[in-house]
Amino acid sequence: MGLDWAAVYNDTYEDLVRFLHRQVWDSDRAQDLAQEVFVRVLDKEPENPRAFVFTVAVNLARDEARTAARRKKHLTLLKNETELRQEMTPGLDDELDVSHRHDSVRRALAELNERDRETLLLWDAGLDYAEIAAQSGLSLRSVGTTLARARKRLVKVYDSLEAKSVAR
Amino acid sequence: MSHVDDSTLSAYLDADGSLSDADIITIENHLAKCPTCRQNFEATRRTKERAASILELSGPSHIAKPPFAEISARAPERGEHARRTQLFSLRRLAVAATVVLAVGVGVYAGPRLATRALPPTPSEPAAVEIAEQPRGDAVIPAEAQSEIRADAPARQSRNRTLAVIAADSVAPPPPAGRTRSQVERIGLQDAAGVPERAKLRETAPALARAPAAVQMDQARVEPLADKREPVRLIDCPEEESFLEALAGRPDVDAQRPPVMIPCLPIVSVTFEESAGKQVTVVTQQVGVGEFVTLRVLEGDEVAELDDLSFESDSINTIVARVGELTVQATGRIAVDSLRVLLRRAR
Repeated sequence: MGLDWAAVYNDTYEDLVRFLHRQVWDSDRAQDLAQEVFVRVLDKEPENPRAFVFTVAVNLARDEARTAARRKKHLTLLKNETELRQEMTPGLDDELDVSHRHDSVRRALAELNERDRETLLLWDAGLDYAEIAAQSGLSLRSVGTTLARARKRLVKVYDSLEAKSVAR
Repeated sequence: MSHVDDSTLSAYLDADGSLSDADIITIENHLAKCPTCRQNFEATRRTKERAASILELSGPSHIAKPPFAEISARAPERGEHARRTQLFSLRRLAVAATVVLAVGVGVYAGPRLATRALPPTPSEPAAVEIAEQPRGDAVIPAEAQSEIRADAPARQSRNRTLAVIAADSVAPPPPAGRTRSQVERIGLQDAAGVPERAKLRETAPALARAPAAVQMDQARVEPLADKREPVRLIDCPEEESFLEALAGRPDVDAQRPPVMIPCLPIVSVTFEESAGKQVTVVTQQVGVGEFVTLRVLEGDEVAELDDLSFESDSINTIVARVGELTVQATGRIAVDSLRVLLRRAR
C-alpha cells in the first residue's frame, strides 16, 4: 500500500472540482462528483494516480452529461436562474457581468466537440501531453494539435459571443 | 528547416516534455531567423493565454474540501455494495445460465424432437447477451491504465519562472578536489519557500533524462534542476584551456574560433548561408534541456536589429555587440540570463 491517496486528494481535489464544474456547471454537483471519484479510486493502485483520477472523472462527467441531456431539465433550470438573477439585480453591474461572462464561457465550451473540450480542460487541470494521450487514446502529436485547435475555437466563439452582447 | 508546424509549436510552447533536446534546438534556431514562424509562435502563445484567462472566468462559485477521512470513510460502504452487487450478479448469472441451458436444450431438442430433420439452432448469442459481465467500476481499460506510464516525461513547471542569472549568482569556484555533491547548492528554495524536497518528485524524471552535471574539460556546469535556479558556471578555465577544448572539435577552426560562451558545453556548431555569407551557429547547453544559440549577424541582418530581438514567456532573443561583431543569442531562458551569458561571450 505505497500509494498515499490522502496526498493525491489534497493536491488534486480543487483542480478536479474546477474540471468537473466546467462540465456540469453546478458547483455543488461538481463537488459531489469529485468526492465520488475519490471514493471510487481509493482501493486502486494506479501508476499515475492523478491521471487515473481524471480518467474516472471524465467518465463520470460523460455519464452526467448524458443523463442531463436526457432530462434537459438541468440546463433549463440553470438558464432560468441566470436570467432571474439578471432581472432581480439590475444595479449590481459587476455581479451581472461575472454571471454573464460565466455564461459565455459555458456556451463557448459547448461549441467545442467532446474530445477538444476534454483535452483542453484536462490540460487546464494540469495533466501533461502523455497523460492526456493515455486518457484519450490520442497520439502525443495529436494532443498538441487538438489543444491548439480547441484554444483557437474557444477564443473565437467566446469573442464573438461577447461582441454580440456588446452590440445589443 | 521548413516552418514549424502547429503541433510542434504547441508542444514547444507547452513545454510538455515530448520534444527532444535536438528538436528544441532546431525550433529555437528556426524561430530566431524566421519572422513568419515567430509571428505564428506569438499568435499561438497569445491564444494560449487568452484561452487560459477565459477558462479562468468559469470557476465554481465555491469549493469546500471535506477532510480526506470523510472520503475514505465512504469507501468501505461502497466495497460492501460492490460485493453485494457481485453476489447478486453471480446469482443472476446462475439463473441466466439455467435459462440459457433450458432455452438451448429447448431450441436444440425441440425441433429435433418435432421433426428430427432441422439442424440445431445456435443459442450462443442469447447466452452472451444475458451472461454479460457487470461493468462494475472498471472505468478505465486495463491497457489504457498501463499506458499511463510512470516514466512519462516530466512536465516542466507550467507558468515557470525562467532562470535568471544575476551576476552575483554565479557561484565562486569550489575548492579543488570537491565532488559535485559537495559543491554547495544554492537556490534550494523557490520563491514561495517550498523546500526542494517537495519538488523532487516532479524534477526527478527530468534529471534522469539529462546529464547530471555537464562536463567540459575542466569546466563544470551545474545543471538547472529547476528553471528557478540560476545558471552557474563553475571551474571556468583560463582562455588557453578554453581554446584547447575547442581544438578537440573537428568542426571548429581553432585559428578562427566562433563566438561562444566559455565554459558552456558545445552541443553543436553548424554553418548556414545568410545574405551570401557563411554564418557559424553555435548551440551551447546552459542546463537540463536548456540551450542558448549564438549567431553572428552580418550585413542586411543587422539593419533590422529590432526585429531580431524578441521576448516572450518561452523563448527570448537578444542582440548585442561582442567585440567587433553583432551577435544574436536565442534560448528558452530569461532575457537577463541571455544578457549575462552574452556579456561573457567572446
